[in-house]
Amino acid sequence: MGVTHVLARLAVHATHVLLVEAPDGWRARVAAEQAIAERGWRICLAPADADVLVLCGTPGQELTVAVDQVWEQLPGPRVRVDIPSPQDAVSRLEEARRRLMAVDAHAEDARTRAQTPRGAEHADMDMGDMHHGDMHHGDMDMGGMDMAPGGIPLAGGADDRDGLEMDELTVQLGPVLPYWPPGVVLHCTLNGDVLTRAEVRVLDAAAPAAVNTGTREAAARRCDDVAALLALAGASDLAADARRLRNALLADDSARNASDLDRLERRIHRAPLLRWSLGRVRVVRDPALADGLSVGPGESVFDRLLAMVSTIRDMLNDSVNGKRDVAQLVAAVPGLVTGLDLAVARLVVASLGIPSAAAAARVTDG
Amino acid sequence: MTLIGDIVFWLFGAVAVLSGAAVFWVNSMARATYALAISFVAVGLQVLMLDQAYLGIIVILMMVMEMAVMAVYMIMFMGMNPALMPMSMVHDKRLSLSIAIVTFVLLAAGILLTAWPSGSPPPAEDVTVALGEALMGSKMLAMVVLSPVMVATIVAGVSLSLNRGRYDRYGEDLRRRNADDPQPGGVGR
Amino acid sequence: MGSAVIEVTPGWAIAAAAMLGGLVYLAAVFNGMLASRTVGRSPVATLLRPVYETARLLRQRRRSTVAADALLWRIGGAGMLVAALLKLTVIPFGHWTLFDFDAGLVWFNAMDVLVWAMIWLVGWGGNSAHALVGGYRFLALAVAYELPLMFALIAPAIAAESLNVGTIIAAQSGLWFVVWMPFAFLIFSVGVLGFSVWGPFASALGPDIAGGAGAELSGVDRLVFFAGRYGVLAAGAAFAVPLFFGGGSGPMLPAWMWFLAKTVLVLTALIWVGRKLPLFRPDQFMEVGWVLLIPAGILQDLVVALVVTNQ
Repeated sequence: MGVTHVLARLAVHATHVLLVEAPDGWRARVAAEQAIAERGWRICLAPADADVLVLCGTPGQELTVAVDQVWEQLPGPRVRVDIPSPQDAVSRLEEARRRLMAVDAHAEDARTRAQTPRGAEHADMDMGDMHHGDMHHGDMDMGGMDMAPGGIPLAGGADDRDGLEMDELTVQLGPVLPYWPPGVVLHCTLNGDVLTRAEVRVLDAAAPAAVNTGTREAAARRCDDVAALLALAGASDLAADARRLRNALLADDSARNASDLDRLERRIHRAPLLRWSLGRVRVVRDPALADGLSVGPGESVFDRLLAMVSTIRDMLNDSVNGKRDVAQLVAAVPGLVTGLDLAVARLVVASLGIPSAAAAARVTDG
Repeated sequence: MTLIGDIVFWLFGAVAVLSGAAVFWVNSMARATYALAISFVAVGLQVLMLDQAYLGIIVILMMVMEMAVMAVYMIMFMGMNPALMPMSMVHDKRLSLSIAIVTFVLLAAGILLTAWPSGSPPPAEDVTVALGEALMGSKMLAMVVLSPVMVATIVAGVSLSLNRGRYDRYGEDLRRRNADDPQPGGVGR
Repeated sequence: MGSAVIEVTPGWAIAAAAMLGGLVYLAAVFNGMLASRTVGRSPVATLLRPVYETARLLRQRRRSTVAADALLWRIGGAGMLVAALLKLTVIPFGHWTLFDFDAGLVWFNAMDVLVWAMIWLVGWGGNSAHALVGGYRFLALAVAYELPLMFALIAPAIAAESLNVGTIIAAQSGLWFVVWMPFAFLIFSVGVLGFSVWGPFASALGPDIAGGAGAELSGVDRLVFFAGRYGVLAAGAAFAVPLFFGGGSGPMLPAWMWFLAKTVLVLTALIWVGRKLPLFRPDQFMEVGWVLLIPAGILQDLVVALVVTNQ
């Protein structure tokens, strides 16, 4: 066996997977996450780090285009699998493992791929390729120069939040971004890392009707939102707890759920640094927006986190929870994030809990 | 110094001059900044070779830090070309050239016409102390006081240049408890 | 006070690099253990995880982006490991050091300032918005932690009246510095976590920007960058030992064994603490660094200076 085969056999134990979730693929994604954890694989944050691209659920057309672009960004050796429903998770991942070991197929893939990066369709590149540079002609000699290196036009300048003129970068957040609501795309204009303009778009607006989900699954979805917010805030242990609770709720392990939830809430309460980190970020700075979103005017991201946890408890106790208007939530995102920097904007979006609201909306519509 | 030491010293000098010149013919602002950083590091290494351990290493430390921050400002404010595009860093060619030539002639004349000490006396017992005395001598206290004053001046200058001052943050009568910032800082000041 | 260290021939640099590699491996294993605590992995799998990860990255192809500044990008990626190795040259392994430098303390500081350049270059070179944001976030955090780190590093130097690492070790023959300058040790740990982009200071590589500065790295570039990151963390932990924990001092066992044991302890403590704390955003930490940590560092230096002059 050559070195390549030995490397392949060793490498496959530490596979990194990039999960892409279609709007109806939540259960498939959860099943995939569990299967990945059991195999000792890891979930990665960027296509550059990924060996396997997993598409959970059934994507619409726009999402397929985006996934194809992300697929192009995976370095070899790469495998692409679809997991349309949760039962397929284990078998598809096993198939991925086998395909990862097929050294010759990957060599062939490497040969037939583009060897240099192409700069063409930039409007939809979700993971980067930004423009940079500014044009002040003044008395500088710039004759005979190519104004668009690599095919990307240079950026213009604009005033940012503090009145500094800085270059504008056009960045698209989503649809393939870790801990981001599936099916939502935010087209941002960044000055530095402050968002000065944002537009939101929902991919494939005609979402398929979902199966009626009980309160247990709704509670599990909320848990997932909590885990995403905790992971974005860097509290990885708490996020792991929330994910464990989510899995337990889905597996209908009812005995310990209430006590696990209590323990999670206690740990969140007793995390002073988390409170310091999230407690000063007000979700809604403009009181006019607050009413429609059922968010208190002075509520911080930390308050939202605790509110989400108490909503989970209400769902477990079968109390009726108010339905949230997901279209309004999504439409409010640009207003909420403009003027914030990228980190805080991500926290604010995560605190809105859009994925679970979208699922609830589909239930009552479909 | 030994022959190898001499050669290495001259090599560092050559690197310093060449990378300093490179600042003007690379085609990216980031590369210009880091070419300057290499130049400074080479000079710092030369100072190290002159038995000035602390001075040499401090030059390297400070210059790398400064170049890292300078890259941010060059790209942010000068609005010039951070991408790999051919660009010209030279403005006002005739005036700059004449100033450069005049400065070079003056400095070269100064170096060549100064009365350097003859022979090569052995270096003092503690070279660093000798260098410190020669540079600062009896004005050590003034030098020590100078640095906090400079830092205070820099901080004051930056605060004065802010878009939003105390009155925007704390209200007209400075009585607001929490500053009205778009994003609060960590200590609540 | 004399120096406690003997300088060895440069040929031993290879052994030093091997030791750094060992510490990096250990750090990776421990971090992997903490990351997947809930799932029951076999001990063999946990111990071999870095081997698997290295194999995966060696197998992965390198990639490039459109209009990337390849020269600066690759320099940044490789530079982390170089900075870690350079730091190691002044850290005494028991009694032996590669470079008995008069200003060894400042050398260490200078090498971790190299990290400023490296991480920004990695973020910049890839021509990617997320990576660039990561690079700038690192510089913002670095401005916040660097001055406190410098004040904290001065404290042992004041107590030992020298910048030489060997002399600092010798000055701890009575009492370890960590006992009577604990704030200096805490701020130093903050600095180490900061320049290795670890734990609360990992926003430059954070999940909200898809991996930040490392978002566009793959293959060997990724391996070298992240190995360098672990290396810088290990070197920082190793430097805490001569600075605060008396170097290789300890009963019975030879000095180098004590050095290794203390280094491993500090390293595992740093990794563990890193996982426990949430991310500090640069805009929040900036105030903490300047308003809280710098005065704390200066006060600590004052206390140390008073103790030294009154001895």
